[in-house]
Amino acid sequence: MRNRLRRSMMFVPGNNPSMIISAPVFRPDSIILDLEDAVSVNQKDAARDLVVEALRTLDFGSCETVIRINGRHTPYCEDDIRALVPARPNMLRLAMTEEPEDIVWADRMIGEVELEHDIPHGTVKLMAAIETARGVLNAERIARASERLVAMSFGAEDFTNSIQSERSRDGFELFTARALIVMAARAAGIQPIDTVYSNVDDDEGFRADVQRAKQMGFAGKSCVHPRQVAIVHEVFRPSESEVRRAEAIMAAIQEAERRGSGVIAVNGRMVDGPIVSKAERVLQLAQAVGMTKGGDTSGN
Amino acid sequence: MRLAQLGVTRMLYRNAQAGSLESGDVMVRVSPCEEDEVSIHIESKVSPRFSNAIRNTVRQTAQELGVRNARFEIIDHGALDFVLRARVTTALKRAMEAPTNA
Amino acid sequence: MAINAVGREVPTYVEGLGEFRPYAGVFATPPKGRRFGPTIRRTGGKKLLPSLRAAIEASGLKDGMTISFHHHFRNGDLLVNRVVNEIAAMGIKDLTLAASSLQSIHKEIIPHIRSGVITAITTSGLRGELAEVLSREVLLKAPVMIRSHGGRVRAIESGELKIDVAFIAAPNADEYGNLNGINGPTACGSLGYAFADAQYAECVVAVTDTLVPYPAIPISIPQTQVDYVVVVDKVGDPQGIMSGVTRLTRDPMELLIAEKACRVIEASGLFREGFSFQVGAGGSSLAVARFLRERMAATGVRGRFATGGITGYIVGMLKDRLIDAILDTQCFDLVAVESLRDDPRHVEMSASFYANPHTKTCTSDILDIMMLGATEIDLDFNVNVMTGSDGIMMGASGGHPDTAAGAKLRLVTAPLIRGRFPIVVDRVHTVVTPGECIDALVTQYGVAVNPRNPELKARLKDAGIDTVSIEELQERAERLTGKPEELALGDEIVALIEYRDGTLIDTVRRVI
Repeated sequence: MRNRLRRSMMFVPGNNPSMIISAPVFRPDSIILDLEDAVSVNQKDAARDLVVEALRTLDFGSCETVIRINGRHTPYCEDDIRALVPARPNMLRLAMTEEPEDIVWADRMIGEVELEHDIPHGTVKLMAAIETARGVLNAERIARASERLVAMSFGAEDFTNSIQSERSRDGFELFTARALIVMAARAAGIQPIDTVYSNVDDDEGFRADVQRAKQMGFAGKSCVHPRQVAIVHEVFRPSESEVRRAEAIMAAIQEAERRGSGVIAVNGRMVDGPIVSKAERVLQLAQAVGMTKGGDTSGN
Repeated sequence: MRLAQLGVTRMLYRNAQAGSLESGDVMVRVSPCEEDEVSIHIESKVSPRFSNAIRNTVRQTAQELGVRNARFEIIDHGALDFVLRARVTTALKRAMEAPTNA
Repeated sequence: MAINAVGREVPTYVEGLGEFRPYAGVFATPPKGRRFGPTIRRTGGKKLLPSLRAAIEASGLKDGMTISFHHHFRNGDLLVNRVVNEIAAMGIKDLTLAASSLQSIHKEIIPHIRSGVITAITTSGLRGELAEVLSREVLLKAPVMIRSHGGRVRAIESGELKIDVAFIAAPNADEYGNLNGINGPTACGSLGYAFADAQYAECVVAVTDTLVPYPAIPISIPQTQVDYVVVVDKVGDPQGIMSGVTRLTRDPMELLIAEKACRVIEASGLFREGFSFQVGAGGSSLAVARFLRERMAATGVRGRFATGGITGYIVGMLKDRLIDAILDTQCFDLVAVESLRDDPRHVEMSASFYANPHTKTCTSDILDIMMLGATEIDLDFNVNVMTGSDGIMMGASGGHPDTAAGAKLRLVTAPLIRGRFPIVVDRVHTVVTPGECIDALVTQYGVAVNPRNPELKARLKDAGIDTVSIEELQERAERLTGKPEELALGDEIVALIEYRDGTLIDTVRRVI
């Protein structure tokens, strides 16, 4: 699914069996099995084999499976794609994307492996990780580089290094990059995903960071610890009144369609395109936390 | 897997290992052996209830990779079957890498 | 042999131990008879003896007798090993070791078991190398008798377990034998499990490292029960009582399970003004207290009391007036020890008061909410906390069957898989607590309510909490682990599991 919810994308080290097995119980929207930073150079092959077996065997439930593969210019990237695509993860996340060509290349490579294994073209989606100043400035073209691309994430650790700064608690140094990524992604109709917050003990700092990301237009947040998942879901939880309003709008639309009427009004206000898409978005978020009739009651 | 179906036997060139001693993981050590056989030594807390399962998985994984003669030492800390399969696979692939001094 | 009410084959007679009735149901076997009384003795004035050996000599300990110990120092206990070494050196043999529990530090007595100094054991738990040896070899004249905390004190009071010499590890005492556990450099807190030993043993030896002027106050165990006092350099290592279990877990899986359990508690209807609860010291059980605390703060609901083994976390709830009282049989950390000493709302409680089924009332029968652990739980909700999935003894009956029998809500929390072992099994290897005493199992993959409690299931449904059947949990676990193979067992019985009322609920067979 292109536009499924990706509020929380939780990283799990790709070479750690226990953490891979337990990841789905925390119910992040997406699980990112990490073959890049979390895996040392001499264990790249082992992590790859482990993740392939995990994808073939484990039930990830409602969680989307994403594999963070090593960057294009590493000796592991091709092997990662060749090994993983046949195991059919939902998505690959390409680390260190700097040029549209990186995505074009990965797209083509994934397509070849899909063809070789009789997997329908386009099954495995792509996500670009923007982690450098150069990547940020190319974000707009990267976002439009492939049909396969459904999301674009921001990696602040490498980014701050690339602009020769350091991460601060309020993230002032990230503002421009975040804004550019949100705009590039939204303009291309894909989802922008915000960077990780690595101090897992600072719940309040994390919550503020997620609130800021949501306000800026990010669709979700990368998480590094299960406890962050619940916080993200809380922040993205719509208010009761938002949900009721969205339900009223959708009911009015159905009613208007039934009567063949073109003009729709709710509480005396005209309902137009942006209002409808906001209502749809609110209902999608509401359903995920069990706020709508027939919704998920997992408490997430 | 195709190799195995074609009856191709693959050689192990060196000793190799994969995995870890962490809980939920398994350390697989493999070495080439002269005789045409797969021997498996298991050290595991779960072996009273899973030794046959462990043996079968190791044998089957070796067979799928076309390996006929290997000595395995399995030091298991409660790894699930898929983990064992992955670790055996990695260890065998590492053992199959041709010597680099060529 | 007979088949008991949980479908286990148990002996009706055991050489060296006598006749047994099979377990018939939680309260199906009523008490009978009169309380046991030890011989009336007058020790007189000179109780302080120069050495442990002098005390053992004075106690009249002979071949074939029973010696007892309490386990408040847990893995920091120094007394059992010391006394047994001394007894062995004196050439006394064929003794029954009646400890309230044994820990891995007690592996030191293995040679004395092999040499016939100790030929029978009754205890609540066995751990480490000692447990492993006793699971694999038949070394004793009779199987190890596993008793719950309530069951042990019941057996002492009824005279089934006659103690000849009780050794009390006293963090401080006076020369006439008044003693307590809350003062002195090795303070361990409550001495609740030792009360019955002091009251019913023929001879009581208090071993202390801190002799104080008469009277040692407050008086936990009085001079009227103590025969001799011995001073040694150190009675126990208080660091050992923690054994690394009392820190609040940071494991996200355990926290997730605890949070689910807390939601079940809140939905059960028992989370209400004045409620009482008990949590263990480990993993998700203690973490439940954290979430309970959050919910209490959020809703304004206050509790009345907490019981059992006590940790600093529970003390914090007392200090913050979220609960009014603590009834304490055992302190699990030094914060609890301090609180017991300084706070009159924190009360030392005897094992009989806590859990003896054959008293007028025990506290575990009054309790609202009980959090329990499990090494295995089966489709009938029978719980094993004594043997691992490999059949080796590694745990303790403890207060598990006692609190489960009486509390209003009995929740087992456990991860669905440990190592490669599924927690939910067809038949637990050893039944310690019968399934009729368990209301629900809470795992990371969902909550299974015992079909015996449809009301709880309905309440959870009303609260929007999904439940699954225990069979679904088993299937879920086995999809990951595979079905375990049959365990290879010998015919010999190495331990008997006594239910709290004195009936036999299960046996443990030798692991080959």
